[in-house]
Amino acid sequence: MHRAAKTLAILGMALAFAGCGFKDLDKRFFVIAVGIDEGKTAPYKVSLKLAIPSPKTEPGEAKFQVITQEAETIAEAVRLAKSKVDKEFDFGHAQLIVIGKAFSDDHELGHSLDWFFRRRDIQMISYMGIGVPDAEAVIKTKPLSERLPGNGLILPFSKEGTESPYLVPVHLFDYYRMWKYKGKDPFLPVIKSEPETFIIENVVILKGTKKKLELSPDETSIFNQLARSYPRFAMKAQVQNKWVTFTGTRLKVSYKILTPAGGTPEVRFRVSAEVESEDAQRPLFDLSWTQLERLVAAEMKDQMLALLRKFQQNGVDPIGLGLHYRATRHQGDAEYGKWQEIYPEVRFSMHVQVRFKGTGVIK
Amino acid sequence: MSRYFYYLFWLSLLINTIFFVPRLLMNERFNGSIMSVALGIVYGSVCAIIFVLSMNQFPGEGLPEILKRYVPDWIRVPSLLFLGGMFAIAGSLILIAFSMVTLRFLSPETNPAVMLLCYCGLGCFAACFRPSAILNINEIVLLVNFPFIFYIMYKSVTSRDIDWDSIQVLSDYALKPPNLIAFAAATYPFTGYLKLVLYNRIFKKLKIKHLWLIPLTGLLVMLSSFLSPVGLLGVDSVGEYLYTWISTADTLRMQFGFIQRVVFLFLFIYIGFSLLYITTCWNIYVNFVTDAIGKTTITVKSRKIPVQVLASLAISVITLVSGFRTSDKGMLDFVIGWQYIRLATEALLVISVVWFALLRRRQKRHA
Repeated sequence: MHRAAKTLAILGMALAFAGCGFKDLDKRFFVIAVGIDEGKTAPYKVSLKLAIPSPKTEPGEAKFQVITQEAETIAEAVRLAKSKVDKEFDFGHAQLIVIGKAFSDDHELGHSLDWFFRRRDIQMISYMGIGVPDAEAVIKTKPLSERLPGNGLILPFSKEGTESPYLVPVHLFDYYRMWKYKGKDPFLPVIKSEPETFIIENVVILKGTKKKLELSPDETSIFNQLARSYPRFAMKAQVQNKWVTFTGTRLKVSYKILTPAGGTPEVRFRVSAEVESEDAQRPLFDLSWTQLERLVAAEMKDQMLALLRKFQQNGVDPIGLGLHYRATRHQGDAEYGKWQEIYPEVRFSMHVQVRFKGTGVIK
Repeated sequence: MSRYFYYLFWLSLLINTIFFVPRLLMNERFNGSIMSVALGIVYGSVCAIIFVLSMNQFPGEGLPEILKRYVPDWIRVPSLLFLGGMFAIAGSLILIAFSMVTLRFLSPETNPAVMLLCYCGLGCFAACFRPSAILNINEIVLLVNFPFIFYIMYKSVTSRDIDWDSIQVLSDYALKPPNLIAFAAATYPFTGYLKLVLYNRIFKKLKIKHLWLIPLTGLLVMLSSFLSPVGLLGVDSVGEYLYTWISTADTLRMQFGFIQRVVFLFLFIYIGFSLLYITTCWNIYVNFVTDAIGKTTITVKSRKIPVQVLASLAISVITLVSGFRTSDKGMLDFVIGWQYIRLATEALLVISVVWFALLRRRQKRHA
């Protein structure tokens, strides 16, 4: 009698567990990238890049399928897209969120992307970018060397693959916190789709959540140096009328915000860098290295100041000067208002110290 | 042997700096959280140390035995039942919170009923273990998971993405007067020492040593648990996250791990910790109820059933039902109310145990 009851109880539990609703791996579609565009008939057009697992991981053999769906909201579009496929979507591997250029031009990029912030299965560490000409084209691009679906974009963003000075990666959580910060404006890298590759060479600066300013690739590299002390930069300068390209090996950028009583407020940057020459149209070894250092320092100073003034004129602050102001002052909630008054009048000064490390293996 | 005490203390420290407490602290971050955390660390450590020193006066005796010495039955029985209930609720809260987290992040397709049933079943089963067995499980689970915990903490503090400006912004609000709920939340992680009310029975000949570990580890864990969410999720937006620490863990990335999302490693560790915490809390509750009733078995229809089993079945059923009916919002409201009662109970308990210890010393001197 007892034994029968126990057996029944165990059987009952086994039955209950069988109903867990777990879906096997081969009945799931892994979404690698999500694209958001403006639809023709509805506000959103969502494109999902679905990885198709294949036994071969050879260059160019990455297989994927792209599903697009238009709807009133992102959530609705994803629900509708489910009726176009045979397997369940799994967003746990969605590492890339691409926003179409047209969408980013005339939408605010905050609450319209709420779905990504709210969903539990979208990684907080997925990367964000603006897709040119549109998100769908970026999602559909298939680089020739891609071994795993989507890897062509994920590798450069995570810097596991190429390390480009023109790429400033932005994580989802980072975007969210920049959006909410008082005193820092968000930015997004731009991904251009080409027939068999991508170009990621510049960033867009947002004001709040609206697109405000698009930087050139050179400005992006400077921005990368200023905001993240990114050491691998390249810089061109004229030495006695011949072009010489310098590359950075070490870089440290720090700054202080000075607000003297009665005087003009000032942001004082201190930059120290180590550079090497990589490509020169004339021998450099016998020139005065001190002068070369001064030349590079002057050039860096000009470029950095120009970019800072550009930000100031456009009223954006992607470096987070305002946040730093809030961090270093002690007036509580009043700080941000004060900073907004100060920022347009702030004067930038820049002390650049460059050490020239060498001319490579030849003179 | 002292180490068993520290396992209990650290378990509570690690569990409670993840659930509820960060959310309560983040809600009040511009409103006196920092002062509350500072006071909480001091208060928690002082309470822990004087409590441990007092319990050292009673080698091999738990609170039930001590109460029997000094107070009449009509105080002893209700206070044991009440304290047991408080421990039971502490365990149930973690159980329900963790089942919600598992449902949301680990396996959203699972039936919530089955999940709660599994957790409650395990808790119910393990709560009836001998107290010494519970201490041993504590040791095993904690030692296995410590390296991973250190790894995650190290990673969160040294993350490239941590925004130190964001943390520094909070310094402006450091001098805001503390508020009660943040203070209660900040002292909660330190309450692991209270488990000595039962487990002191096992420490027969021992005085607990290295008491400086209490403030030191408490300070380190509290700081990393309070500051890394601010740095990683942003000072202005950290309050918007419901599962503060799980979202924080999700901002970390293991480049060369099997899985790149640290959050999964984190969740798997916390499955172990939560179940352990539930087991320990319910074990105390079960033993207190048995002591309060004074019998080890109850006869139902001429069959003897251990009180322990009945008690743990009762709490499991209550947890199961309330787990069904509650929601994120309901839980938080309940926890806020519960924290006040807990804070008062803790203070009362510490004061009375210190009082008993003083009595005991006087008796010894006269004897």
